[in-house]
Amino acid sequence: MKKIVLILILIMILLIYIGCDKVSNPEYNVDKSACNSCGACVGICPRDAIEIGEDGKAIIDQTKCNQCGKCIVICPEDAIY
Amino acid sequence: MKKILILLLISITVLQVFSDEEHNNKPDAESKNKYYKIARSLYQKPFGETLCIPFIWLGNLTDKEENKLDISNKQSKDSDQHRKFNLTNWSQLSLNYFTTNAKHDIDMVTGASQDVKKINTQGKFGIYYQHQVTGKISKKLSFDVKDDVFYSEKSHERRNSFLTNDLKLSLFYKQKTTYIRLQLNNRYFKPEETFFLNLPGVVYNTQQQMVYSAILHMKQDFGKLSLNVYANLRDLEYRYVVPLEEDDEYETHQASDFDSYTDAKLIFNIMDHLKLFGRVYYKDDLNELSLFDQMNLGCGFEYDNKIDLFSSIKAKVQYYNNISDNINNEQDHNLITQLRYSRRFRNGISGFVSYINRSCYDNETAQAYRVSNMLRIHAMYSYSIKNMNNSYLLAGIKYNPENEGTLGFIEQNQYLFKDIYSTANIKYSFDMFTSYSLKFEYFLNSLQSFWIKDEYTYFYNIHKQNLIFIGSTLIF
Repeated sequence: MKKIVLILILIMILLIYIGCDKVSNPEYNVDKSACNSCGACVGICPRDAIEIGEDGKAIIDQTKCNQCGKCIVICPEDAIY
Repeated sequence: MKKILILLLISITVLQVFSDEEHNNKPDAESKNKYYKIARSLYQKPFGETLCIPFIWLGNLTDKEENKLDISNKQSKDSDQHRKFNLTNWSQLSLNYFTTNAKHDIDMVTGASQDVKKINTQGKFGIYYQHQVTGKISKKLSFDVKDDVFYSEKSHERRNSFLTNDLKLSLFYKQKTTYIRLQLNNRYFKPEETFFLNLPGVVYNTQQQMVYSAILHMKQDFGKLSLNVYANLRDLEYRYVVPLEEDDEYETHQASDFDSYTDAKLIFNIMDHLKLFGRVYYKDDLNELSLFDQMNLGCGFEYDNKIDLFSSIKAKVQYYNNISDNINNEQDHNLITQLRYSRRFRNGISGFVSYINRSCYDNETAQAYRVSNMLRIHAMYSYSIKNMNNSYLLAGIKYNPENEGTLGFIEQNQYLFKDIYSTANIKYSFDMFTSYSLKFEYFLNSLQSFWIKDEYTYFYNIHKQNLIFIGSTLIF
């Protein structure tokens, strides 16, 4: 059962990747399982767009973010994608 | 892309094969306790290089080995004196020296422009101090105070200001079914030495002065149902400069920017390992223009199964509807799929495969789009306990084509002699930078250490920078 679910999900991912165009406005998000709550991204953001959320992990406010990419470079855990 | 997909399939298949083998070879109950204990104590190691440490330890330990390596034993003795005060202190202090060959234009990392006088090629000193105190007021009440002070003669990769002070005061109430957190935050910037913010809707150059926030976070369990509510009221104080027409003079103004964030989540445990949830997120820009209002309505499920002591699988699928004029129509309907498979083996190898996909759907054009894909594979090899203490070799890749975030890294932590460790790290990003770091650390005991570290980063076609740190970490 587990293997079937995995295969189905992989097929779904493959279809999404092949069949869909890239969105015109890119968006950065935080992989919460990788974030170590250091706050480096909060300190460097030039749009005041990042805050620490309920679980202590960073959250990017998409209405403010201009995708400058500084947080990607800063993050010691490479948690921003 | 095909290669990556093939790699992903192979990784999952290989992990699956090993998983099946381990099912028939489970450790006894006593060994399990030892595994958990070591894993927990190593996680308390205070530095940042704890990414995979919580699950590195594999193999049966003798009592002597366990006592030698188990920090929690020493910690409990050390903390006996503090128990009557219920206080734990954690502090880290580091001095750093920064050099770069950036001479002009925009500093990619800090955003500093050539107008900032302190950007030059001479070396500059800095200091970074963090202190955290946690304590218990009663069985149900506890508190946490954390303060970070950062100062540098030249700003570098950690802050957009030469001087910041970040203070957090938290009060916790915990009961069997109830959790409440009240938190007050204050982040101070020295505005004269803070780089300009690019605030949408504000035409003039702005500089942060202070950020206040008040947070209320509550969790309540009702049997199989649980409610999670989070509210944050935030105020950004900033100043902006308006040029006057005459004599190139400027006028400075003060202003505030209020935002409120509310997030409510209702979770239903439908069976073991499986949860359904519904979520409402509302952000209110409390200023006149309401440029940043946003509302999300969503639902999804989470699956979290620790298959055995050695492996676990997590999956999360979430849909949400973006109700906001400030977000592109393409992202009206969003789907997030997350998968993570972690695995440990008895031969000292551990690792995980993680994948996140974000896609969206535009109602008007009836078109689906890719927002972002991220594949992450980490593997770690832990050396033998007897010879190398907790030395390890860690390697990983992150594949993120949409946002140019693809990179690979390798890290070696090595026990040298007499409580001295070294950590070397190389990180190679395909589109942005390459960095190298080397750290030597001397442990006075399990909770106190001194270290020296060098970080060298090359930002492609822009500049190179080097940071040397001398620091200490103390827990008492």
